[in-house]
Amino acid sequence: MGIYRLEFSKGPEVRYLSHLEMMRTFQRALRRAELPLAFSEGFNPHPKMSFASALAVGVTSENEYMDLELKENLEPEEIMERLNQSLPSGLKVKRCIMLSQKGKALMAMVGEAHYHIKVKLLHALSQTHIQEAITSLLKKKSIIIEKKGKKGPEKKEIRPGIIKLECVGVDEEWVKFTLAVQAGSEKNIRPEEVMKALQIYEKLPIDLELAIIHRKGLFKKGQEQLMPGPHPAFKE
Amino acid sequence: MRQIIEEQILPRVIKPIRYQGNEFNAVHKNWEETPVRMVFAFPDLYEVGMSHLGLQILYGLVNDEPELLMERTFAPWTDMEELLRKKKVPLFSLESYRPVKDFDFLGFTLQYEMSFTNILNMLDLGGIPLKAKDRDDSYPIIIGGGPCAYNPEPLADFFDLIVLGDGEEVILELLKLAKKYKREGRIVKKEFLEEALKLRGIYIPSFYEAEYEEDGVYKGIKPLNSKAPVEIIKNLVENLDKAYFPTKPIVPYADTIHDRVMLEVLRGCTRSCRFCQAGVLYRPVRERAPETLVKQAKELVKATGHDEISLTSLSTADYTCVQPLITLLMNEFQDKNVGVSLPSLRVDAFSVDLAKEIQKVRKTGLTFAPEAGTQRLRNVINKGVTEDNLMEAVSGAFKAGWTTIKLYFMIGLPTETMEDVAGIADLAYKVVRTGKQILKESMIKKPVKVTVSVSSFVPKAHTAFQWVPQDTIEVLEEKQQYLRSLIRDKHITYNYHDARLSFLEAVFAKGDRRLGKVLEKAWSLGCKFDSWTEHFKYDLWLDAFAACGLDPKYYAYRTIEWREKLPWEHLKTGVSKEYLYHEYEKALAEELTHDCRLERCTTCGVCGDLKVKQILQKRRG
Ligand code: SF4
Repeated sequence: MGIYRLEFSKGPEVRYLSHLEMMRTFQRALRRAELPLAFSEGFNPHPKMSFASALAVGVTSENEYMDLELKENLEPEEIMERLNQSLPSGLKVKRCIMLSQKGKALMAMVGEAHYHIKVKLLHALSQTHIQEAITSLLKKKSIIIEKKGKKGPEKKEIRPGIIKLECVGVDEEWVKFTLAVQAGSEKNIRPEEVMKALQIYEKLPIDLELAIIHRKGLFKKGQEQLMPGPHPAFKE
Repeated sequence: MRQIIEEQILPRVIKPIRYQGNEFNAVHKNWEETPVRMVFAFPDLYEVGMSHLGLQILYGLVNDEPELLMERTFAPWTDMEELLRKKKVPLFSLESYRPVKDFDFLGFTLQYEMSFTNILNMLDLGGIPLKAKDRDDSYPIIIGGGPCAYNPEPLADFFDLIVLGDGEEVILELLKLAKKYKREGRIVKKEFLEEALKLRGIYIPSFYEAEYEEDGVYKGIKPLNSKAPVEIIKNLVENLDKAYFPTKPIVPYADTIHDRVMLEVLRGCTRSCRFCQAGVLYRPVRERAPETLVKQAKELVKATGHDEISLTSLSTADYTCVQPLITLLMNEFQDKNVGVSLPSLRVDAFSVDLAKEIQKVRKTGLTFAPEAGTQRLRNVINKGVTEDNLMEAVSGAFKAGWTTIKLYFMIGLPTETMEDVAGIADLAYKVVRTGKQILKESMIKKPVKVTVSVSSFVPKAHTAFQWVPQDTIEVLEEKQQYLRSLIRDKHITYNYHDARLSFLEAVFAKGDRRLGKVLEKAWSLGCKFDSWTEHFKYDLWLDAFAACGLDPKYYAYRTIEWREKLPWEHLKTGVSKEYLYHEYEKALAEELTHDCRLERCTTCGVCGDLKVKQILQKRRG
């Protein structure tokens, strides 16, 4: 038996996959790769795998994480290679390591997420103007937005969850932000919520329907890596 | 165009994944280097279309040829349509995001009558004139195939070419032929169409004119072109074992209706239920060898990663080697957690045994289709099951641990009385009582659940009941309500279909060319996605008929006389009209017809006239 942690990216080709579809896509790719999957018990056995975080429909990502359990021990490189041959274009495993033992659930370890966001401007604005709006927003002690809940609209406080928000560029049509927010089971701030706050509180003229959101990184609390070991890019 | 779609349209629609088209195993061929290009169009949503085995077969088949390419398009949902129109983006293919108008062929599959308005809508969205006569060589050739191709008359104005029967062989011949008629990037339509007539099962509606008596009764069809044959005979794959089968089907991301490997074990069904059109269209029975199927299943699971194999066909439980096949598949796949399923079950104890075996891996619901509530009526429709058969099967199911049973029935069948309708309720109660008893004996605490689904009978072309009038909407609704009043039990869920939709289905199923203008009118008034309850606009349909001066009742409610010509008579399934009429008479006499695969030939005509043979496997295991 072997437990593995995988780091993978979700590209624009598969941007519109829901979390459920993403799980199914991985399940199928795992089968196509003919890896010796470990299955859950019960009437409807499914491969033992768990994701760090659900990525919203429309959002791409550079670093997502998944834990996988196999019936046999395989070399991490082999798993990565076989899986990459079986994944659709747009999904790519970048790293794979073997975990020494089954630890805390991956989902419970997530604490922070970083995003690049590109939003359409309804009319041209200067970067200073946008930066001022951000400063003003972040000065607030409390930012309440409305979100869809199970029983109609719910209020949600997002201010404490915003770690960092910056405007990194603007042209006639688009404005670009970088954002760091609290993520995970304790409190999860979605990038759209922060954009909505800019729109509502600071009257920033942006078209939220046309936001292009890219997750740059997913971390434990305090930006600690979810996957131990050096990134392959830094190997040499 | 891709940029507009990706940046401005997809972010604004529900389920953009429907339109993304880069699923695993989707084929992206080089446009410039492929001389003949076709787009397969399914006139319904992606999720419905991607569950269709025919699409996967043709897609693989055509794309395996270096000179040909096939892409896909589906009916865009209304939110998508609105944006396409607003942004002036034409209907496009999922693979290369090219306007469907740029292809040489646009091929619609004609699966059910109530998708016809979607076809017109898709042509319009593609910027293609609806009528064949208004399209010059700069437009694609619009072709159609599938079950409704056997009566394409209501669509005659819109299609350039119709293909009858199994498409596997003829489609390649057709596309390869087209290459010869391509000049300056477009196919010279008239020359091509005339040449295409040399292929089997090709019907060019514009080469014919329909004639009517003074009182409006259909008189027959007259070829306008000397090369057009008076009869068109369906295509047929003689040996399914040797037929092409797609080893790398597309694997949709989205949840489709059939999210599994579809293993076609056989084609055709000769049980001879008299209301059933498919039973006539796909004759004779051709079975695949279990060895072939196991090999195909392995390849398919490997290529798709699906965790379920569905043994598809019109009547899988009839497959000679069903038992050994299931054992082989279970042995092969059990420890990989790949399950086997049967799509629908015929009522008998044998099929419950099969289901029991299959359930070792996965639990799915059990469905039975007695179709009618009394033995008399079941004899009329030649549904050769008895109440004892049903009760034995149901008991078997309850004993094996199932608590949920689905029962399919039809109302409005020829000769039906209120007594027959009441029989449906009686049967449902009997199933509930049996279930309660058995569950009690086996100390199972779960309640019995029985779902009774009742559809309305629609007389279809090429069946023994093609001469029969449909029950009026009022009568059908009365029967539905009567049944509702009889079924009052918390263990039984009762659902039924909109009788108005069944009425329109009957009109188009037995329609003639005059209905083309009604279709166009209805579409222009806003009818589309008619089989989706939320979009069905019956009043607009009535307006369309009124505007065209045609009475829909004429088509659905009239008894057709034996001596009359039928608007679909020139399109040959191989089953003779005499045989069908004889079956109709036997129905009225409540006489049964046996299955020709079990006993001697019942001389329906297919095997002799089309010079083919039934292919049954030897029993083994
Ligand atoms: S011709 Fe005879 S054997 Fe062939 S399908 Fe018809 S009834 Fe069956």
